[in-house]
Amino acid sequence: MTRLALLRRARSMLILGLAVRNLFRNTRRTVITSGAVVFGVALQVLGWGLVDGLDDNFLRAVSTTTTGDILLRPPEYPTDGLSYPLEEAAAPPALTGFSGEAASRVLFSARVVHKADAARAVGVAYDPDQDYRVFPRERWRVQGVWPDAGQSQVALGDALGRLLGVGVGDEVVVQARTVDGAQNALSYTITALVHTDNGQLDNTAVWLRMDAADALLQLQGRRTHLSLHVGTLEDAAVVRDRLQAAGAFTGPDGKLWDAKTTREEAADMLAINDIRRRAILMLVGVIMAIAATGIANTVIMAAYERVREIGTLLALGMKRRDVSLLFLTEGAMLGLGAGSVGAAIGTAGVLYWQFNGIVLGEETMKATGNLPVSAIIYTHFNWGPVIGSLVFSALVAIFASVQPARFASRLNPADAVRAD
Amino acid sequence: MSSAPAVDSQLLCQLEDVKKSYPMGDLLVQALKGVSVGITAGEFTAFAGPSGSGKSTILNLIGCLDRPSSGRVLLEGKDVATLGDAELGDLRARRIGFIFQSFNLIPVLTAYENVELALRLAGAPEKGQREVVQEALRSVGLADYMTRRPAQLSGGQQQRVAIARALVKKPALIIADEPTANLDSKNGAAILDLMKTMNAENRTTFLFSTHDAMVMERARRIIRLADGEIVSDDAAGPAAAGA
Repeated sequence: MTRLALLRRARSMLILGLAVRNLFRNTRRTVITSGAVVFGVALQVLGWGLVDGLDDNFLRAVSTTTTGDILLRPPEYPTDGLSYPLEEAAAPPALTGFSGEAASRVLFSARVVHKADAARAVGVAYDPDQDYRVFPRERWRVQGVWPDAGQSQVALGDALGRLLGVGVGDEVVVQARTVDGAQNALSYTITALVHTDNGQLDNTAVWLRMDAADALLQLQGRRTHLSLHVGTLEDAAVVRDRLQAAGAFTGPDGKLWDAKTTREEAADMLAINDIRRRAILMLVGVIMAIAATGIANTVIMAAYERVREIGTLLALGMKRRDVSLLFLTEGAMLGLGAGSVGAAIGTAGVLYWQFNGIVLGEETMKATGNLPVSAIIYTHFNWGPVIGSLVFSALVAIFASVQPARFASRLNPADAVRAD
Repeated sequence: MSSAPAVDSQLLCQLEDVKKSYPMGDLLVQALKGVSVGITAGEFTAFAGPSGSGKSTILNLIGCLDRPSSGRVLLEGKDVATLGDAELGDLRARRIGFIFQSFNLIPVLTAYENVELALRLAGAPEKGQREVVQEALRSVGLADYMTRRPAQLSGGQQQRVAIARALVKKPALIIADEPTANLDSKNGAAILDLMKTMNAENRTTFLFSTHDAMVMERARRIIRLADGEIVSDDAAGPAAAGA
């Protein structure tokens, strides 16, 4: 190491050492000033973890129960998820060239009647040989057993069952229109109440095997949904594009089925979460602005209180830029220190809820209506907001220290050494 | 009255017709009105005079803490007016030690660290620094107080730390601005005797500003100022006369 480099290192160490000592000169003031930064950074890390967790929650809820990794619908079928026009059902494409798992379903508007009670429902007709391969059911809670082949049996979403006041073994009538538009109604025995952790299904679903649905709807081989499991969500768009280009999504009638990845399906909900992120950023921005004012105030007070000390440092030969650097370092350390505490608190919260989850109460779940939201939200930790908020808090603190640092470095040492 | 520069081949510092004025409100106050004086290496000199006479201003200029409005200040032959801020800082760090009336120790540092600070700012090599600092504190009688902070030291002890801080880098010149003003007479005398010993042992030049008779008694040269002018230059002060 050259002499110049040694001198620079020694100077940096001197400035760092002095800055650390100065920060603890008035511990109470430092702690109070740090409070806003700690709160702002903790809020950002925690808020971000929660919103990322909401993204995960929503994507998990839909991908494991309704969409798979890629969801295909007939060409004219609405994609708003609010209506289920059976007349748009069509024979599904053969998925030539696709080697993953696929499951076809028929979703239809239905009415479930039990004695004098009735409720609107969404029928979910599934092929049991395919369905569990795309929608693993290990985490679903099933009270009873799934319907058997060739039997007039259904399973109900557990919340729908509670709404109708029915249980396993009870009889219900399911009313629906056939593919051709005729009204039909058949009686079924309830074999299970199903909790999928997707509020939309649990509130509204009537689960029928495809053979039972055929009898009710006269499907004639038509389907409304085809879900593909391709591995990770990230692979989905690539696989979709490749298969689409290869013609795998073209039905026997020559029409191309519409294919969307889970992320595209969830775009509206994810966009809402982006709004939440922006709201958090704005809130954090306001808190950090308050923090910046506090830091500026603290560093300005430190500069005015230490005029004689600064004069002494200058008299002893400290360079003006080093005096400036000393104050900027103090500000940066204050910001980084407080930011680190905030990030640690936020991270601890995110990690705790990442493993334990936040259980949404029954009232909250009711408030989510028929949105596909899981009853447990697991926060999602990632380093981005932690590093981002640390850098942000350090920058805010440095910015707030610029003016005091300039004041300190411009003092006339002759006057400053005699200051009171 | 302005005295002629001292005639000596070892002239450490020279002021040539130095004027210094300060703005004070709308007024321009003339702190020095054309002062010329020379300081030889190894001097133990006091600038004496009442408040406002310009003695602190002279020390500020010699100590490179300030620049003259006109005239020249030469330190070891260099005109300080031609030096930039950084060069002046280097000069102060390496060649000049300061002792202040209010001690001016850094309160968050221990006695040891205060002394070490001067060495570090002077860019002294880290190797051997500890021994040099310890020796400096030992020489001022504070071997047992190295880990104490200024608030844990008496005024006399603080001034001793300040002396050790000024001496540790072995400067050519030590400037002491009213070094005894905040000390009782016993401590003041002890501090002065200590400085005089350092002056005798190390040939370090000491310049004081003072109106303390005790300081003037020990000075070998007394330069009296009034209203920004040198009114007398007693090159052989009482101490010299007695020596």
